[in-house]
Amino acid sequence: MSKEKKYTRLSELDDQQLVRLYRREGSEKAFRELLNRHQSKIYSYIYSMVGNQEVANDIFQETFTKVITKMDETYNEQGKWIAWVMRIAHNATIDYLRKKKRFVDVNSNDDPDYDFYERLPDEELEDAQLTIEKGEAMGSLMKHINELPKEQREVVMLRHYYEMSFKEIAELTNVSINTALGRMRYALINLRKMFDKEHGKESKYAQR
Amino acid sequence: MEKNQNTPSGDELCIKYVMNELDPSEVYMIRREMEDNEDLLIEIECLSRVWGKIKSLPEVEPPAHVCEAVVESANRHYEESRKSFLSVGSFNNTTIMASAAAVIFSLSIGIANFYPQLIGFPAGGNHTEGAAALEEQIEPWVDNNDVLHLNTSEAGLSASVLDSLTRSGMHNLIIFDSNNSLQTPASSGFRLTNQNTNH
Repeated sequence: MSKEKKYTRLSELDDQQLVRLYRREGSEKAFRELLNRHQSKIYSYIYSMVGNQEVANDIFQETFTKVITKMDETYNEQGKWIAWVMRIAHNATIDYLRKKKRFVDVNSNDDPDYDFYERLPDEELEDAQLTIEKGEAMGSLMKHINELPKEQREVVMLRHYYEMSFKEIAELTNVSINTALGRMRYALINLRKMFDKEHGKESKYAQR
Repeated sequence: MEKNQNTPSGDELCIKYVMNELDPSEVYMIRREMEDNEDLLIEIECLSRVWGKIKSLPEVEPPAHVCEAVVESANRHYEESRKSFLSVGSFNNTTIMASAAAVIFSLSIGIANFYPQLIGFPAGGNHTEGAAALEEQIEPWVDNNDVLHLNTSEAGLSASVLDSLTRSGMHNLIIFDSNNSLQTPASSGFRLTNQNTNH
């Protein structure tokens, strides 16, 4: 009874407490709670960087295999668990990109049917027309993000999905804070140019 | 002068403003600047608009089967580490005793080799005790011509041992000459011999 009662309060526990529960008692529910809390951020980051569902699935699993096996050796419970996991996910993603040498355009050759927003949960899709429009806009944005150089894309995604400060991004990517800020600025400028170009094309088609 | 890597330039302050990473005084400064500088105002608005679009990107859930595989892997790892811990705990006594005996034997051999005097063996290559015994048998004497004699023939010393003892003894000798200055036997021409001299 007490165990059940304890598990009903898992959502009230912080990450550190859940990690301790898993490490000491092997509590599956504690681990599941941790995964539920952070899986979408981690998966979205990986997916947005590699642009391929199968690869994203593999890297996501690889990340958590490392998390599970290295938790006893390298995770210090004083630090933020999610920051440690994000670092592992980032390194696994960058390793993959380096191996494949896909620094510029991650989806143009490998997965021509790649559509980031095909995988949005159904319950969020209230209206079909709205969904298509939203999907198109998002698809266009994602396409442009994937056209950014890898260094600029990673800064944008680390900031958006992991909500990292520029100090944290700089530490993770081994550059100065000003370089990280500069990369973000160029990423936004490049995206603006891409949108302008896209809108220019649209108006050209409309004139015909 | 080299630019400080940690001091943000105007462009970096601009992007920090868009990302909401400035302190209130810097925000005030940028807003004042925007009132006077239309280009800065346009740039900040453009960057904010693009960032606003990125912020609207939703999160994507991983497939359920991938999450299940991760949870299974976590369970398996916990069970495996628990089993390996338990198997170490139930190590049988014979193995522990054999290991302990091997460790004690190795330690004994090590001590005998490196610290022989601790267990009463004469140290190999070190004449600590052997030399002390020999030194007791040697009685040095000085003749009328101030020649130092060592009656080594009675002690039955070999040439190499005698040489070793002589050299170490020479370093300990200090001669006081008429000018009251300290000299070593070598510098004063002092001569040692193990031959009997008949004067």
